[in-house]
Amino acid sequence: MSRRRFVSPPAAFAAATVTLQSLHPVPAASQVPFERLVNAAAEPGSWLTYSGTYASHRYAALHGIHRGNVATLRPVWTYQVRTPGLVETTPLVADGVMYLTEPPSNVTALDAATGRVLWRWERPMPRDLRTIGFPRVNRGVAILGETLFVGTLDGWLVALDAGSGAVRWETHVADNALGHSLTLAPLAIDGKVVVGTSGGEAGIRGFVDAYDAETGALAWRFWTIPGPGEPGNDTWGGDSWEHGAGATWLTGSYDPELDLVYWGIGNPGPDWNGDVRPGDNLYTCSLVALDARTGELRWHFQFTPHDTHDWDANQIPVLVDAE
Amino acid sequence: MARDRVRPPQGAVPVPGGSRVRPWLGAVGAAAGLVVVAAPLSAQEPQRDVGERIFVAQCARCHGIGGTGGEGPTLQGRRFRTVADEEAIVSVIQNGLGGMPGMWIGDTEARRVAAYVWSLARTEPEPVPGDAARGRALFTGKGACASCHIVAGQGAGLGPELTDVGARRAPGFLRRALVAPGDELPEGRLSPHASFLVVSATTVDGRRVEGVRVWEDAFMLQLRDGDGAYHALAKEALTSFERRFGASLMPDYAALLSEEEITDLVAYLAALRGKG
Repeated sequence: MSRRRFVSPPAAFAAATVTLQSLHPVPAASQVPFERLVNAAAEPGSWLTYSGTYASHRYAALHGIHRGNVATLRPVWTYQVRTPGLVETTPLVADGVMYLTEPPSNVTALDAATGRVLWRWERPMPRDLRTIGFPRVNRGVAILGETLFVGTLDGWLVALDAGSGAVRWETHVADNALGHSLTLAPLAIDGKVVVGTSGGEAGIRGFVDAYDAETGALAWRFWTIPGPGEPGNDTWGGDSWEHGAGATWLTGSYDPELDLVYWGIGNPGPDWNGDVRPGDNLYTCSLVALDARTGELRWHFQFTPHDTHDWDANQIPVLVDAE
Repeated sequence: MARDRVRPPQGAVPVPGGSRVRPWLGAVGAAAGLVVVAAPLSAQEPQRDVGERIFVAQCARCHGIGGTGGEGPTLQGRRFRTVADEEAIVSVIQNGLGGMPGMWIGDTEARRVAAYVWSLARTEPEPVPGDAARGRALFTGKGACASCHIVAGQGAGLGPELTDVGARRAPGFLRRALVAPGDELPEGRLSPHASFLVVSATTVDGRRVEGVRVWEDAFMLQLRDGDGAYHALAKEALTSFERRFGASLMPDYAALLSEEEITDLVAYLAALRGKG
């Protein structure tokens, strides 16, 4: 059967593109084993983790768009998030499917070629949700195997089947009533999912957590504020460590060869006024390197001892090999 | 969904053509798509509770007549997770909850519906026949249900998730879903077209694709085949396309299982109530 159709060149290109895409079904679910994450730089057409690669270079090594054709770019599809609010998600793209998060902590899977929705997962937030000192955003999911991981504003880590959005498991990370919240995109490493917490303006005691990717059981916790008897606790006068803050609200980086997780840590509590917390206030405003298997601290660097300027050190560490 | 938050004045019960009602109310109600229970108050007809009548007209579409369930959860013998008392139901009716939209309904009417719903929640649901433990063995064994369904995080997510299906669907529906699955589509919650409608299409290059519809609009068809692969098909690249109402990708359990086995499986499914 043939029909002669007169179409203008851009429309013909669009039709040809769509037809070609229809010849290639997307796999049952994005299958992203740990090895693919380690070698994420080798597939520039994918975006498999929040910062692109474990080294967080955030560099897209694609060549299809360049100076010669950027002036001819035109929209192919648009997708509008359902809930009004700030959209801070970094979408992941794997095997033709785009996974993004929408406010408050919802997850959407789109067909990357057409922008049509494949599935949605929505989590209603409690009425007494506390988000103190930050907007109600979510920065994205992590993917490992056929499972997505998302942090929620009310303090949970949820694992979803990447193919259908059904819940695999949920783990309560921390009490939102105390000010804890998860806005960050989790970091998936070998068999584990690493997350931090927000709440540095709410007097929390911050931490970096790793959970078993299959079961959601806590694998290890690194408190960013040392407790009594732990090294660094003496950098907090009196009991000020109990509400030392040290939030870990942005995704860190990972070196698979050294098996170290690098995470930035936020301001001490109380913020701005350090009178009740004399001392250097470790490990606030620091970068820490943690053993990925145990969560033990390998080394730290504190950018701002006894911070009184809200100089969070949560910036995502960029790992480079340098001479 | 944008909703006009203006509600009818308290106590003004919409009656079609009623002279007691302010004339503009009918127009406003019609414009907002308000469905009015039109029950002539004849002397012979028993005075049914207004709350139940409104429920039948506005709520049963999702919750089933008598609260037996459907797209929305069953209300009979319901153990509410977020509702503490009858007054809280009024708020749910007017403001919605999760997937339920708020209803355009006045306070007086909402209270009557809430009273009816509260009475449903306090009724004991009829006991479900069958052995749920044997049903569970069938689910994981002979029925191989986990190869397409997820319960409490386990299984494959090809068909509707069943973690709380017993709280959402009455036993009658569960039985029909096993023996005549194409008769009534499940109406899932995971995607815009999550009714698991079976569609089949033939592309211009002669390839035939079949699966459950995930998305359809004027230009695109997205479906998921029995292996779980998603297919994005431009409609202009199809030579044929059929929505196969009445079809299902489920195996023919009426032939595979005995009557007793089906009863046991229904008992197991009815006991799946999720966390609540």
